Amino acid sequence: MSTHLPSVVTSSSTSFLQARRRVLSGYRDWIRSSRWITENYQLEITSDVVKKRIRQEYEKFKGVSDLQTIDVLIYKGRTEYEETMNYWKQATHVMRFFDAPRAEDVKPTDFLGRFYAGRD
Amino acid sequence: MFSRVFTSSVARTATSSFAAVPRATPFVIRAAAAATPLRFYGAGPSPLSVAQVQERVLNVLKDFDKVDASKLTLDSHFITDLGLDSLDQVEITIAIEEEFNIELSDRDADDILTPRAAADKVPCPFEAREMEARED
Repeated sequence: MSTHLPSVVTSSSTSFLQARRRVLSGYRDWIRSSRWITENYQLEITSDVVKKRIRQEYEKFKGVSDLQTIDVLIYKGRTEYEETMNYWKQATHVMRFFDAPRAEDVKPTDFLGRFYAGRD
Repeated sequence: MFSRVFTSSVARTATSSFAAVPRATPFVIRAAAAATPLRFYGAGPSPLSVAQVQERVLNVLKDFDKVDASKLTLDSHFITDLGLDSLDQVEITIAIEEEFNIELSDRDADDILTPRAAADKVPCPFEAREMEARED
């Protein structure tokens, strides 16, 4: 794991089956590396918390059914993984995933709040 | 050329040492070691039996919080019987990898859908035995 993680050439999935396999392969890489991440970035959280957060991120896009959208998500996940494993990040960048959402990112739910925010 | 000879001989010894000690007959080696004054450095502890591997796979699954231990048998299917999803399946295969100190290929890991299939995929339980001894 101390060696450089190489980039992979992006390619479009030809079928949902292939996309599924690539998603699970990416998830497997992440979960396998969760302990490495906590140890090498010296995070003050356990690897279980990291695993939970990774799963949360994958579940966020559970309903995506468009093949090209899935491909983009696969590339983004892989990019994030590569940046993490090659130390192109620092501990704060990793910990940013565990921050509570910022006040301005929380969408208002009441009528006037949505009106002021320009959303309907 | 030397390196090629060297790697091939290493590969041969590696495969032969695993192939030469079938799971069922470690006792022969032990008996031989006891009878002669020679020391068999490679003999070591006997590899795990199939039943032991299966038991440890089941123990891993029992520790997995989403698995209902009462429904768990050797042949219960992760997705249809235990109600898990594909992400859970990946997590289970990684827990099994950590338990036995191995790394499964994606193809092998995809096939693991029952505890029995998982036990079948565990290739070389020597290190696992060492880990077990260390835990005691």
